[in-house]
Amino acid sequence: MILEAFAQALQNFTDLGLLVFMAGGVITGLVFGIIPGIGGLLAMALFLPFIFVMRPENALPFLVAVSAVCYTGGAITAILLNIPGQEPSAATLIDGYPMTQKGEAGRALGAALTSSGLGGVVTVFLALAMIPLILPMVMAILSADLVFIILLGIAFMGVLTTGSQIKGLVSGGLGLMISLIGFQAITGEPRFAFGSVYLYVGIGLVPLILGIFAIPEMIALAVEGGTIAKTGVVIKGMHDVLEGAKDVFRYWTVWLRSTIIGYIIGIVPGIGATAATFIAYGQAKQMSKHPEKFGTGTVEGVIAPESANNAKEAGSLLTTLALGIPGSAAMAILLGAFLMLGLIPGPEMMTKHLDLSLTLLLVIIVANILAVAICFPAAPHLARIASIPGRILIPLVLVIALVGVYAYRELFNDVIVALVFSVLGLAMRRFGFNRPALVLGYVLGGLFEHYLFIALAVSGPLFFVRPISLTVIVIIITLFTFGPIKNLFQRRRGVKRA
Amino acid sequence: MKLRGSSYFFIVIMVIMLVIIGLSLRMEHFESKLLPLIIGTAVLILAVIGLGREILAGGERQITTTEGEATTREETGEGWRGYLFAGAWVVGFFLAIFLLGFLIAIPIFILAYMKLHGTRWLVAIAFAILTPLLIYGIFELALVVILYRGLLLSWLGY
Repeated sequence: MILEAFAQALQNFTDLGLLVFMAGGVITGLVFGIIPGIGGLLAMALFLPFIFVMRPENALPFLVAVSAVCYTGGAITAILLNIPGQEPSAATLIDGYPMTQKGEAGRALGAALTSSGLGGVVTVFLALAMIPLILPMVMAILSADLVFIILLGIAFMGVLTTGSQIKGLVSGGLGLMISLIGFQAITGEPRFAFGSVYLYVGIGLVPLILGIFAIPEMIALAVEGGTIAKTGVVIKGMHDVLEGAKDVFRYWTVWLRSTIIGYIIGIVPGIGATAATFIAYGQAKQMSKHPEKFGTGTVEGVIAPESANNAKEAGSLLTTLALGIPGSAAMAILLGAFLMLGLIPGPEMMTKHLDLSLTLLLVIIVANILAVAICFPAAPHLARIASIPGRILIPLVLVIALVGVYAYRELFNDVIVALVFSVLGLAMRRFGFNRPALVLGYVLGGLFEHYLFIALAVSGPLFFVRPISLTVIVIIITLFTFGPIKNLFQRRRGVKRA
Repeated sequence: MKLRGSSYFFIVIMVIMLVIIGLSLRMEHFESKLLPLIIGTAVLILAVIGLGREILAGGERQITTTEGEATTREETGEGWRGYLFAGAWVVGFFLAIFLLGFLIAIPIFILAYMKLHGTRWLVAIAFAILTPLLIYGIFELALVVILYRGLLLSWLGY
């Protein structure tokens, strides 16, 4: 039955309508992904009303293609301008932007495009292989396990830090604290809102990220003068982009681990791509032979988050199709589209409509290949942004950043918040505090609290006594002891040799 | 005893955390106050340790340019003036948006910034015209995002 459905899915790709809409989805996803504040999510929401009049074989590939490649677009601005086009791209800028400053923008773009494209493609095969296992796997994960998976992400706050560990942890703590602003989910009690209706719903991620990263970077560029790429740096063009692509194969273990992390987090509903990218980045740094280079512009720091964010899509789509549980907001919109078209995601999608499910998974493969094919030739030209004089780049970036912040929720208060956070970002930049750790704390803080109280209510204080929770706890402990133990062994070896 | 810039930052964080802990203690529900108290206390302790270390270390001042990349350049008044001057442009742009809205503030800001930083008239004017047109096309026409019109236009009934 699976082979028959697979043959039918392949045959669907001979339909010109499907190919046109899928290509349209790829271009839409890339464009919306590049524009800060406007993500693939908004693109999907905007096109949802038109889904009514379309055939499922055209409408669904369009939406899946948008969702599959929007992170690829988001990486471009993160690497070149320190502005994450999409929220998960915040992890990419940690090393992507320093690479641009060193004149390696092409290499960073090449690595980002290749790793995200390959991550998106390979995980579809994983998803196909895991179709029979998906139901027991997702059902086995409870809120208690999610608490520790999120805690694993929070544990990476210390790992993200390059300079002072204390400054990194304080930065992460500030992020956690910011995530607590607004209504407490269980009690409904407002916290730190000071009577402001705007603050009742909490601080938005887009004003926070653009305020923390984009505006301070432009202020610093104005002070330092010149271009983003430091003086004397040569932009090498396509040679550099190809070098970045080769890096993915050079650091294939980083790519593989990050892809698997992204895929697993994609399957588990409720964690999200941003957490996936930071966890992938953290493990890459932790397992690296030279962790001290992370944050200063190392290509591994680009490969890890970029592999994870596109790898997440196949996992999320599989959970949505097979169980009707959307793994992310984008998948919730896709779920809505299914219902609008008279299809009910769930076991039926794995039996009666298996050919459509397989077609959508194959769309992820083709969309990723198409996105890379579009972006690759453009990458050398995009890399030249780093050599545009600050006097031209600064006003343009500030305009894009502030318009993006406003467009996010059409609230002027978001622009004010971005400005406030730009002061914080500038101070953190100047005094060596860790801005990515703050974003990580913010992203995971609210989720952690949410699942913690659900787990406590459902299973009591011993909620962690479960195989999956205990396994994740062991991973967290290993994470913290791995480095010191490795150092100890290396020192002993050194003593023996001496 | 002379404090570094980052030491003042630690002090500000300590004060904020003390305020947060105070506010959290006044919260009604245990579920609401649990995490703010735990995180606030942890950050407070870390900030005290960080400040203590910096005071004990003393010595050269540090300016950090990017995460973890520190230089030992002496902070100068000139450096701070540069940041204030660049920050003033951002604040000015923000005020222009607040009063005039995005579509009027953008060309004024781009033209003023580029021209006062030595860009040729032709280039500055081209960017000042094309950027708002592009923004209008993408956001208002394509994405149906109605950009903020500004206080003055609101008063005039637009």
